[in-house]
Amino acid sequence: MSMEMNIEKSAPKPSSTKMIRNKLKPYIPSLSIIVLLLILGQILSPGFASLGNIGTIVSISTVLAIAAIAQTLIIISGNEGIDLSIGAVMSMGALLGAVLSKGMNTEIWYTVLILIGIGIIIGLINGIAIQFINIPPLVMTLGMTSVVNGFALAYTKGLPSGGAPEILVKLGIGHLGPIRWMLILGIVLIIALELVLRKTRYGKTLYLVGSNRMAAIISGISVNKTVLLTYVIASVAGTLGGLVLLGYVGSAQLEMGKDYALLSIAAVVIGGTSLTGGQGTYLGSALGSVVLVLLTSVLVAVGMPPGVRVLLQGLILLLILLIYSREPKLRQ
Amino acid sequence: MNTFKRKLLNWSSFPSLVLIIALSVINSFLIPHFFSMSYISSFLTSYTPLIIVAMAQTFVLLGRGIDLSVGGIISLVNVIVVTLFGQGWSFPSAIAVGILAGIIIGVLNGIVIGFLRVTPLLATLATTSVAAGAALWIMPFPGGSVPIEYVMWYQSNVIGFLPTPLLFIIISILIWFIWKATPAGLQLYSMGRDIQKTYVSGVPVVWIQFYTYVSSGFISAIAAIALTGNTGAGDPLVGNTYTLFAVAAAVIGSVSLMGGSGDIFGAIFGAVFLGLAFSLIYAIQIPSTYQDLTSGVIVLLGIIGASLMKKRKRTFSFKPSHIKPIGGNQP
Amino acid sequence: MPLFECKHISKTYGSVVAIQEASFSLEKGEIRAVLGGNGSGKSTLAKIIGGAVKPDAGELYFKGKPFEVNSPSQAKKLKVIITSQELSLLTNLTVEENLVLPSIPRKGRLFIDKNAMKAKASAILEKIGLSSELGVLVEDLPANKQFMVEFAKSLLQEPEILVIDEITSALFRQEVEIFKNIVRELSAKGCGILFISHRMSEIFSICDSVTVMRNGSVIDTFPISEVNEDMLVGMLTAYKENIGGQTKENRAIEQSDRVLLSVKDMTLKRFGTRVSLDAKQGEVIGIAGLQGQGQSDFVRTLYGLNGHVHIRLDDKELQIDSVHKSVQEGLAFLSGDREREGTFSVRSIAENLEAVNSSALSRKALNQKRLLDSYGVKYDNASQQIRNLSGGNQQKVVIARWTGTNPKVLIADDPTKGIDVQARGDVHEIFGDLAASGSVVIMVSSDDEELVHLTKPLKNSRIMVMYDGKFVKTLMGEDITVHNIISASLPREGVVGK
Repeated sequence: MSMEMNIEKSAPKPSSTKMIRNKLKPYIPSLSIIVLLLILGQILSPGFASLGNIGTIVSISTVLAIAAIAQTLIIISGNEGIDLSIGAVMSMGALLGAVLSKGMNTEIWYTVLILIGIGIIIGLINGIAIQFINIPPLVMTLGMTSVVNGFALAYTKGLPSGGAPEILVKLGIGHLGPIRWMLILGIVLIIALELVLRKTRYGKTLYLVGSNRMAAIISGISVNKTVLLTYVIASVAGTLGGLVLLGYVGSAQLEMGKDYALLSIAAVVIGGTSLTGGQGTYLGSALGSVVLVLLTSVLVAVGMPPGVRVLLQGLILLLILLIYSREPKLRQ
Repeated sequence: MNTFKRKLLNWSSFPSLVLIIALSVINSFLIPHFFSMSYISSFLTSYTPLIIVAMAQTFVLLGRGIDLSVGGIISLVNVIVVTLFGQGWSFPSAIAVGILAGIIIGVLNGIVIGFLRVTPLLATLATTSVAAGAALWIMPFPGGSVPIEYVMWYQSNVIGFLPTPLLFIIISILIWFIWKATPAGLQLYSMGRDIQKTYVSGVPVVWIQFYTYVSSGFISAIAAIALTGNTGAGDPLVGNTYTLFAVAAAVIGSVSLMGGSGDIFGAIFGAVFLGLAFSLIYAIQIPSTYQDLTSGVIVLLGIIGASLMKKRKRTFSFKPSHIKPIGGNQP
Repeated sequence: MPLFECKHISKTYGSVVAIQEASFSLEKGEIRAVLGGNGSGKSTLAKIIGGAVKPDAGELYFKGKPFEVNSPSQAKKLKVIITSQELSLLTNLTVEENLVLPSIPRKGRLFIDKNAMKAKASAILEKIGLSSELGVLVEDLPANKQFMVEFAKSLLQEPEILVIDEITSALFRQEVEIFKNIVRELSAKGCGILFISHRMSEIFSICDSVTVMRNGSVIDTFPISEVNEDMLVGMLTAYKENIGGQTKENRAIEQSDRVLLSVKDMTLKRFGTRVSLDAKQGEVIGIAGLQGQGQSDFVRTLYGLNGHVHIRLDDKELQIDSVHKSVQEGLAFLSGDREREGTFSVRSIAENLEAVNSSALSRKALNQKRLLDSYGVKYDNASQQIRNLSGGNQQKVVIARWTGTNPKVLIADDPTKGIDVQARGDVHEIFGDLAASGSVVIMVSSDDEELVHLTKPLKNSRIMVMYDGKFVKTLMGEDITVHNIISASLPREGVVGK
């Protein structure tokens, strides 16, 4: 019998410090860039590294990190997955949040429920079109962007009213003792997403589906269900993220979140999530969000006009792409 | 005659032509003077930029790429032309610099995608930001103007009866025919279907990819010049919506997102279809706040409809799937 | 001086030897048949000559000079052309566009010379009897015509060495005649031709000589006049026929007459044929045949990969409408194409192991360490990426993924492709054990020797041979020999040309 043969004792387990070092390794570039940018900012504009400013940076990073939830999950799901509609969905979430809640705390649960419902519908439409009609995710979510923007405009008649309910404002800019609520939210999200990805059946299946769809089908995994669920989660994260954005800014404007589509993709790439799918962590994307927000803040601090900021964002993304994600050469 | 009929029916752009005719009939009931020369002329004035940018996108799509930067290029070219003119440059030289800017973004795309092998989607997403950022930098707020003579010329007829915008369309179509007449045209279709087989056949695929993005940048710049004739002013965000519309028009015109099938006329028809649909929205006086939603839904339905039609065709058409897989274990 | 010469060519993929010390030479104008069973190395040899594969060792000489190419296009420039069953045609282009793609005729420097292109294409199309197909898209051509166009494409490149890899397998009889005439014409012009084929009648009617390959080695080369069909078949199969003959141990398989899996008149779409199979509990069924005769189609259709099927499993009538359903009902599928259909290469060993058990079936976690150890998988720790393991160990993990869920039927499609001999033996052992525990094992293999090795030592086993989408022969007990498999697999004269 084969039982006796070849049972080679596996090599000794690596020591626990080495394990920890290995686990942290992917985050070292982001962490060092964060430190470098903080120092650079402080040098260029004294006061940049003050607690107050860092608190602001963390808050905006949390908003971006919420957009990155959608982007991370969809990119992990593979098959050229990408969500260009996340910025529009967040803007709509903020606008509808203001209008539906009429700026009152009492209406908040009703508002949240409606926004979850809308998120589910958008995610289902995206997912079905992509998975069953074979529309490339890029094109579908680009198309969805204009529908969602159009819907937000039509619903609010271009004049968003209501404002942010107090509870959202508290979340957006308030503190719990010395700590900003947004920091707490960010940490909670990181822990929750990492748990979902590592411990739940959905998360484990998502990695497999993203790694190799054909192997997943052959293994009897319901690939369609997993992908649909991913797009739904992404859109719900978007609509609810809009509420957080509303709380942070305090009022809603049309297309206020549109930059988050590009930024969230950049955050995911910086976070080391492979664009071919099947790999990546949410912690990486969250750190990537901090890097990008810091970078923008440094640019603002040194007085760069908005146009230059956008231009530099593009060049930096291009650079990141050149480093992290080249396609294989043609010659085999 | 019979072969002509068969060819017409099998033409990939035929369904979009039918869509145009159907929508034209509907529009003719709802829009007064729809078939008049002046209406056609004003239609072309408004939608020529869309028609041209759809052509630009088609070059890239045929080679199995995508160019998201076309919108950014349009904004950039528009503000460069307006700004330079405002600083006292002669209008033609301002146009020349604008077109050069479009070509430069195209070259950037071509290098990053062709030679450095970054996926088109992300590469052009990044260059969109570069172009749009540059536009915003040059002109933070809408404003400026171009010579009134240019606007008048663009919105009038040449040789008496030919709407000027047609001139722009004809120039872009000429570029297409030059492509088609060179080996690159053939190699483009071949690359779009199977890049590896094409490479093995000795085709310099990297250069073909490069040329498609440069052409796309150049033609998008032409679209921007036309657009500037229509608006008569500068706006750093004016190109934003064109990226989606260009992709949608091409898809509605049966240009395959998987590369290798379709042609530029499909993209033209797709763009005209969208133009007709948008005019209909205005004509039936949908409240202005609902117009974006309606046009977004139309675009999305167009994409879904075209994809569904293709899926059905794939399922029922007689394809050589009966070739036995001798080489391996394909499913 | 020979036109082309190979000296001591070797090529291994991982630990699998594809070609070992192969030497032969080809004279000007010679038409040489290369004959060999599945996996004998003849296709690898063709790819080496065509520049697509780099040999590990050995030298190639063309016209007396060293032949060193790094890509197919370099080989093409030297007029060494391959035309193969893996068509190089682009289906969205017309016939003539495909024909001229390697060198498009130009007018001036820049433009395509459409007239020259048409002229060039029509001349060659007329020669192969396809004049009427000028201007037709390749995707609208039936398979046989596509193969002819592929052949014509190679002719237009004016070969001095032409390697023809199985191109005649899809041709009709009259096309084969045209093909033969053209090959003779080429040889009269001095072109050296390597003709890889299974079809004896073609080999005997056009070839001057024949090289026999087996297990990656060149056995010998003969003038065609010195051999006959029986001798060649004999040489192909001159194995040590005792392989697997020794029944290693008496496995304690209960003789069972209970039919566990039954399929009736299942349609194989690609062939338009219907096939049936009854498999008894504890049975190991090997499926043999030349490549692409429907073996893969059969097992994949059975598993629900080609749409809806009806099967009877464990006394239950089942409508299988998805793979998910197959898996829930206790079917398992092991593909030899690990890269595409087996491993989740960037994920860990542990996750790969749980893919079916926890993700598809939502069951409690497996005892991973026991499973991996019992199959002798060599690994550092289960959280390392599976792609760091050797091919054989990867495949064992994929097998363990399935056996850990106790499947009723294990379907394996060429599961040991590209893994070493040791691991191959282990896999066979695992299959035997699985059958002994009451499951059915159905295995397709392109390696006849392997099928004999798997099935011969087992009591409840048989080999079914497929040809053109049908089961043409069943071998049991003492009849299970490589010779019998090959002679049942080869096309008979009556079948050639359909």
